[in-house]
Amino acid sequence: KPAFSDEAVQTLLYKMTGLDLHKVFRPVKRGLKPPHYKLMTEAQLEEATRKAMEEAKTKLIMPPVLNEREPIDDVLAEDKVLEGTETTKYVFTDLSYSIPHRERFIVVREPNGVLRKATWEERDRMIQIFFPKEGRRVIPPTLFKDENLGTVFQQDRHEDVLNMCIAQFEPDSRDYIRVHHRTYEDIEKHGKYELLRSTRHFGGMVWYLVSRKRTDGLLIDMINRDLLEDATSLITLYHMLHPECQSAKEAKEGKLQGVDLIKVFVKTESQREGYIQLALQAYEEAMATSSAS
Amino acid sequence: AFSAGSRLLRGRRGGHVVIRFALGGCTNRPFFRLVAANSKRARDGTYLEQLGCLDPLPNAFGEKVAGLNLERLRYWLGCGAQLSRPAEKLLGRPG
Repeated sequence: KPAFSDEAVQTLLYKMTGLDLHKVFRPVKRGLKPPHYKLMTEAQLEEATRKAMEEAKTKLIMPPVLNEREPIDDVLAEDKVLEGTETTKYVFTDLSYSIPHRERFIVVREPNGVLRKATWEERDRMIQIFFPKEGRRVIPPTLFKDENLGTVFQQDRHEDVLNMCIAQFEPDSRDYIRVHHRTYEDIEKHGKYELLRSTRHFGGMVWYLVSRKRTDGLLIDMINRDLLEDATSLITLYHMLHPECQSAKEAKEGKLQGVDLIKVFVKTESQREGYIQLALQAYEEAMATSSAS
Repeated sequence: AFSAGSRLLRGRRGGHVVIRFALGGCTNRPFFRLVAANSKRARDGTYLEQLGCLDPLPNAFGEKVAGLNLERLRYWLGCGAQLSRPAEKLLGRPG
């Protein structure tokens, strides 16, 4: 079964993300400086746009989508002798500099004498205390609780929330996955795909929707914006992930391309057939009028 | 210059290396640092190396946070350092 980090999957997702330079390099709020004007010839302008494209590519690298990490539950020792000598837990962190954070020993000695490995949340907190990383707080901000996420979504700031989430949590922690799923579901409910279109979160969102087979809204949005190549790559990705569905088999037999692929997919898989047919018709009429004129 | 040089060489002569706690922090807010130092030195004075810390007051989650630089601890214990009684108790807890 293809995973998120396969080459083919990544290329498809990258094509779908789009490369809107104006949005990627939208000025982040920094200190005010007067704008910088340069006089360039045509060749220099092309050179500058090319360099900007490469920088944009590095900015659009997708954060990994991993399975949820399993809770640690390892008891190292039980010393009944120590029971009652303490009133609080002791957390010991190994501070050797050259050990990767995943392999550090972080143990907790409970008041009842049990010596156990620390849970993931405790580990993250301790590592942040002793090896602080920029953009992380020791205690996760209250923004990431469910009731506060709703307020942020009403202000259309999904992208900021996701960036903060990436800075704060590890990619395979429960909170990270929960926040991301909430964001994607809210976007899909309101159809606000355009908010994430040129950012690095788009790939993750598409992966989430395709694995749950809820691609209809996204498909309609793409057709309405005349992005047919994106629609075809979406459907190829769908086929790669669910090769046992009927449209995948028909597509492989017929080797269909472009609009035919979409039509086959719409007939067999989607729930909102009517909408997609209407959108396709509108698109084809627009194509006909533009090619005629 | 000569006295400074000889004082540096005197770092480990007339006294032995001890691993003990150095107290820091403000009024009613202690904070211990696990430190490898010459036993003749003041408790909070110049030390050879800092090997960790202990916060004796429990934090918001009810834990007492301690950090230990195990790699350097092994080095100093291998060099033949001695431990003070509270340092022994702290290092005995994680086993």
